[in-house]
Amino acid sequence: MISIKELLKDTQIKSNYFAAESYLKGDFESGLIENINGERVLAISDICLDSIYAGLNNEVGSSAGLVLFKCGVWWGKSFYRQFAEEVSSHYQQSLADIRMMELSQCIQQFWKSHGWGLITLDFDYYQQGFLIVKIVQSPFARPEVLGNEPSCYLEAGMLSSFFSNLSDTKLHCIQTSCESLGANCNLFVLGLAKRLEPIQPLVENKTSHSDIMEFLDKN
Amino acid sequence: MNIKIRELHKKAEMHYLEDQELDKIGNYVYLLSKKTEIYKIISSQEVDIFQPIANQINNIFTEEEPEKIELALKYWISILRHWNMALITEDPNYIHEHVLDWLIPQIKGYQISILSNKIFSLLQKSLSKKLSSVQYSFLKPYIEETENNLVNSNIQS
Repeated sequence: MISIKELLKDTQIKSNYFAAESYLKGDFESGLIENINGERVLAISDICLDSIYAGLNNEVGSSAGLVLFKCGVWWGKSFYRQFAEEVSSHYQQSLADIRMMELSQCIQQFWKSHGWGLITLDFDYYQQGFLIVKIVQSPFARPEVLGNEPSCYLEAGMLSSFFSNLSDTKLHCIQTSCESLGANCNLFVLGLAKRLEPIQPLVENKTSHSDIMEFLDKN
Repeated sequence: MNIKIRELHKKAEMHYLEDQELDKIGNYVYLLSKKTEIYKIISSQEVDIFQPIANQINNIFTEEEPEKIELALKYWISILRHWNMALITEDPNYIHEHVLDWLIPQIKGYQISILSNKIFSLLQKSLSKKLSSVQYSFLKPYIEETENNLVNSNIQS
């Protein structure tokens, strides 16, 4: 028989730690936005992001994407450290011991509270060695700033670094669909760099995400 | 805090509050004291509310894994705690942000929708017995919100 008294002793009755209303707060006197741990959070406007993209495009031309990807890699590394600390402390467990369902929910809610859009992890190609990440309403998809190509390089770099740390395997990330090009969502494929290499020309030729996945599935 | 009361904050730069606006605050404080009573009834009877539910669920779902039953009960213990907090804070987004958006995918993912819906129905019955009809009506908006978003979505899926 289940004892409710015993169940109540369990500290794992968790709700949404990243609920924006309690996770983020403004210290308006000092002009700061902080998270629940007192770490500074920055609100960046669309104009600021466009200006960074345009400035990079102007200075380094076609390498702007690569620069943004590398910045994303650094960001993802630190972001993973912060995320791991917060989630482990909330669950009083190491990240590796937290159930995938809860972990995936934490990632989704973290994204949402930071205004990075709605993220979904798709494990349909997990057995083949790929993780698909879908993000809707990404702030990083900037139309026409980097030319006629998927523009979420910063995000792709961040995802590659974040999931590399999470899986303890070096993963690359390539964006296959972008809201800035009229798609209804941004899709990213994560996997070993060697296995993802062949799809780069397909992305450049504007091959659809489903055709790219079919190609990866067969190769 | 109640949104209508929070909106009154902005009026200070224009004028002192009028009688009608002060009545709103008085009414809010009066209702808050009533809601605090409900909060105390439920929080002091958490075990009494859930133990009979756990027993009935055990008898109905004899083939179900005990871990899943425990998980579903924990989710509903959490939901009831959040209904109660939403009652005090009067924030319509509270239960969405804190529990519904959080638990809906988990209940689906762990395939405990049928179990969860049964606990919801037993919990409703239990609360309607523990609370007077007026007290129950205070909780009703949150119960209905949960029913529309969590329970009905389980039925559809």
